[in-house]
Amino acid sequence: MSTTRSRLAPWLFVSPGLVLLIVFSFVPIVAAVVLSFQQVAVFGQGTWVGGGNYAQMAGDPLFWTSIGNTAVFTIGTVPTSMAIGLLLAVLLNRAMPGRALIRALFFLPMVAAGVVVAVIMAWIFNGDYGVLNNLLAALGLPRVPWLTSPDVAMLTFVLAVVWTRIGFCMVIYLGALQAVPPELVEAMTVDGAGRWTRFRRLIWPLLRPTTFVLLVVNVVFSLQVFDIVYVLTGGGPGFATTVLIQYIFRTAFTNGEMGYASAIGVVFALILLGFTALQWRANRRAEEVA
Amino acid sequence: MTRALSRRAFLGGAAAAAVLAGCGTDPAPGKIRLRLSTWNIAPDLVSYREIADRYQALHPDVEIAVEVTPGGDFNQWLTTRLAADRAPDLIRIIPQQFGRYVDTGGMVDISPWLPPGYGDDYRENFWSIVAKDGGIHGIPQHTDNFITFYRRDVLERIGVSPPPDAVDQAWTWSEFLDVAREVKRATGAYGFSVGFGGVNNAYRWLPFLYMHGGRLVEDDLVTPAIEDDAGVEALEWTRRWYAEGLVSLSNTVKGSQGDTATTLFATGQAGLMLNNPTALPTLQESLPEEAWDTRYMIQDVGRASDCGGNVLAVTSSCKHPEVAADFLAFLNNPENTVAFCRGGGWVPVRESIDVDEVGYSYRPDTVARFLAQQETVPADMIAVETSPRFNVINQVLGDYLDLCLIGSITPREAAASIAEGIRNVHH
Repeated sequence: MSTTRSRLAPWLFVSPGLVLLIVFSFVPIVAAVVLSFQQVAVFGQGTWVGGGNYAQMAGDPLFWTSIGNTAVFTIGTVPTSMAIGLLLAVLLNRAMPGRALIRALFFLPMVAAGVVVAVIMAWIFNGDYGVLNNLLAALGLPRVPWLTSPDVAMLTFVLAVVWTRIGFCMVIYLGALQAVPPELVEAMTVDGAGRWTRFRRLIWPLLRPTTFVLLVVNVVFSLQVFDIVYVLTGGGPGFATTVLIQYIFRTAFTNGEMGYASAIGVVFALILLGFTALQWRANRRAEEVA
Repeated sequence: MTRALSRRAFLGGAAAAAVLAGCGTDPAPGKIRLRLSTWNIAPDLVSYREIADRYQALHPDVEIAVEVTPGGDFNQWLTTRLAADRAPDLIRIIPQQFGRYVDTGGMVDISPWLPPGYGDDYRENFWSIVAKDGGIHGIPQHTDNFITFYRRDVLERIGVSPPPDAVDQAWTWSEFLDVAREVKRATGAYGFSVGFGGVNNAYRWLPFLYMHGGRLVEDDLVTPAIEDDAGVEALEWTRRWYAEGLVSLSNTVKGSQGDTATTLFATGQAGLMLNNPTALPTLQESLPEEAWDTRYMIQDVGRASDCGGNVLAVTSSCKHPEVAADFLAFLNNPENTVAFCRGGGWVPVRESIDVDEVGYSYRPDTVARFLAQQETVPADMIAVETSPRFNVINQVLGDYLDLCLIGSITPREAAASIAEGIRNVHH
């Protein structure tokens, strides 16, 4: 009796979370995969089209444009926000006046809702009455078409998102830096190692697991970017800032093509899984070598 | 004396709260409960509540809740609600989104429950929004469209008089651009701004196409018609606004935020503006009344203006469509239409109602122009904007129009791409 109870107990404890996970994650994932093989409007039954949606995707130029834009956005945001986050963490990992306040200020954009950030950015980057261009004009510099030029709009997005992301990277790196054993740092210092050598030979290798986690999380964040694009430019000018999630959203809810949107969603999930697996393998190999 | 809250007591309290919360959504016993969902516009919420109270006084067995349609994407919200059969009973919706839901069965045919001849007082072009597939799927409550705004100081500075105050005497395209070039010199920034409001409002460009004699699609609402000379010329003319710097690049189809045009006008960066009545509250706050005035919408070989406004409809989730339809008929009767338009500053679509009867508190002269401009909204443009697949056509239009306006593709390429997109939509 007691054995049965002890066997059941763990399941009872995890069951609320498990039920939520099944209902809100696993079931929708399976449903999306099934839908991806159907042509289905918003209401009513779908019709099976086999791999038709996937074939359509291969010849859909807007799908490839959104993939390309998402890749550019990810490459632009992930290393930049991680590098600046690490730099800030190193600078703030020491006693200095107002340290807590500075940390909080950098982290603040991360907790703000994406739409709020987008609206603030719209006022900052507006070409005609935005804060930034007014500042440039006051300094006698030419105005920049932050959101209205196809060549500049993506850069603006990268800047806006990096601003929201560096606080997150900084906090995670700060936690990792504070876990570095001080006696090791002291030992290297006694041995005559300079600040850069200590960082390169000791601290950076110890930060590798944190860097891996941040890399995966940041890539997922970047691949999933949506709200700021949706509010700020609607994917324009032209298609200059149309990203994958936005394309899935518009395919599903504006065009009402639930089957095709699901197929793009499945491909997107596979891209994410593939990237995470590659990163995981690369990190494990690096740890083995170390 | 305080006592720590036990886990059991907490869970019990939570369960009781949940039950009570659930009770709150149920109607009183024996009552029919209807939910009306509308945009979050404060004066309208007050008007709807007052009208609902009057209806409830006449029908004590009915209880009406006025709710706010959540922010975010309307289609995402309504689509998922309808799919789950949990949509509000009555919905306020723009004409451009309406056709899709009629086609998919989301909007109920209320003709069996409307009094005979109910639509006779409505302008024919606007009644055609709801009269579809042999049924009546809603009631057009109010409308808005585009007219021409100008800043008095700017026109005085360049020595130009506004055109005569008559629909058929409005500035022509060439007159308007000539004035806009002078205005640009006077403002040092732009000639005019346009009430585009993001990619979902791409259809606001269509009046320029129709006033130039072009059409987006043929009468079958399927075959594209934008590739002819009129279509390409309309695109070319619009593109010239941006190429000459008469309109800001932040005021393109996709680049515009909801208030971009009004902000540019109110701050004096643009001396002219083509916009709808949603500009009025901002102008009331930011400019003295004597600083600006309006004339009718610019014209070309023909006249046209935007099909704005809203429709009220009964959704397929409604369990008492006969009661909901009766309430809609009451809500839109002449007396309530006058009260609603007075409260929100809206333009009525009932022909029997004029500006004096409504008694607008702010710029009745301008509202009168919106009212008179209604007759120029083309019926064939309304037909395509309320067709079942217009939501997709609107996306295609927005995509390639934007590329054309910023100079990435030529007007002919844009016309061809829009036509191709329309063909794909119907295949």
